[in-house]
Amino acid sequence: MNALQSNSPLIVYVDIKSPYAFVAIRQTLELEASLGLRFDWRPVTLDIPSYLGSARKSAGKVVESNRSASQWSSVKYAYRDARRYAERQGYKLYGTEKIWDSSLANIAIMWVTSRARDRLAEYFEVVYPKFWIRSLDIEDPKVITQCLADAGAPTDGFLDFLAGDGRRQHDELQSQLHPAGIYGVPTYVIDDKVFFGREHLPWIAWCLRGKHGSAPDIAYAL
Amino acid sequence: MAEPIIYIDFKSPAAYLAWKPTMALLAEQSVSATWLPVQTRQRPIATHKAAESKTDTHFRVREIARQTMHLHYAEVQGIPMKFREKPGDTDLALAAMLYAGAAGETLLINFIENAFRAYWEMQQDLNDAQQVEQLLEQSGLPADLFDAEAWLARLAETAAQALDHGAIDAPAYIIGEHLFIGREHLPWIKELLRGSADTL
Repeated sequence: MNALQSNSPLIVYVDIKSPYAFVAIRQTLELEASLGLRFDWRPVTLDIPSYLGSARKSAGKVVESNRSASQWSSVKYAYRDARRYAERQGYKLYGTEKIWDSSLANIAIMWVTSRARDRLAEYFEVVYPKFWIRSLDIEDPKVITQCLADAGAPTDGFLDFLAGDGRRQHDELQSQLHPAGIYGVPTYVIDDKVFFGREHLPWIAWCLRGKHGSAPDIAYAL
Repeated sequence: MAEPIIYIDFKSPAAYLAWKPTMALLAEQSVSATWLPVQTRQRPIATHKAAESKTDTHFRVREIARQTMHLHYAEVQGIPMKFREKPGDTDLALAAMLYAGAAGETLLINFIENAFRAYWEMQQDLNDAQQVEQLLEQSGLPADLFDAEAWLARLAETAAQALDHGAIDAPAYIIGEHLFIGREHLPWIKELLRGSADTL
């Protein structure tokens, strides 16, 4: 798998533990449905401590942190911002109490796209909202297997995939991301051009719809 | 709905690209704004090193991508935009922006437009006294009455207030109790300015 190439006109990179990816999912799925296309959805397992420091909370209080004041300000604003847009979509979004390893839930995205592509939206709907109300242990393979079942995706062979081919494909893809210019989620790749953030959806929609009229500026949909 | 407060920095590419769309929105909604300066931190694109930490790589890749996106949307907006290798300091021009603001909205708008153009089109040094004096004169403001030291002190106070407001980057929009960073929020800001958000 090449990070920038696909048979689909649009590659979409997401991570289950990203609040910004969460609030982008519905709009991206709606765009996909409205165009009658199948986007190429792929996982990014963000290494958050490498650029935003790390922290752990317990009962709402920070018990461990190596974040600077400016990193905390950025993180707090990012959560507040994602939360208000999530609420407009009818979701709740609570800040996580630790930085999760989302690789299992992300490998499951690859599983669904390769085994039951038509269940992908359901998988996102099963995983994202529950994770963001702190009701899903995405580090537990049994929990992820149950999510697949709840989404109507097959589960036979998933645990083997998780430990074998899935992990290998996932790790190979992650190693390509920085060299390809991908550093966060959601990221959209269209015509080899990389766009980070859902604010680019107006531009992407404009391209996929044939570039009629004036090109749009960035904007978050309401 | 209270008059919006908008924090900008001339060296912020996002603030530059937000200027036209924001002015268009304010005009469309017949709303005035309080424009204030904020000192943002702009990172240069780091040189690619053979032995790079993951953190270094992340920031290098991010800054390249951001610059590419800014240039992409400058083209979409049809405005010139040139990045320099190392972002310039803009403190003196930001202090002069406060001075211009005290002289009235029209002169302030003139000054902001000229300062953005000086930085992003003409690559001028907005921390240079002579350049800033020229900008003031060009904007219709008496440069000889500009007490740089006093207005730099005011800038420090304003910057502290900006941080209290949570304006950690530019453009930052404060509308009532709402804080938005970035022009991507203009649809929501428009809704607030129209007063329909209360019905949410």
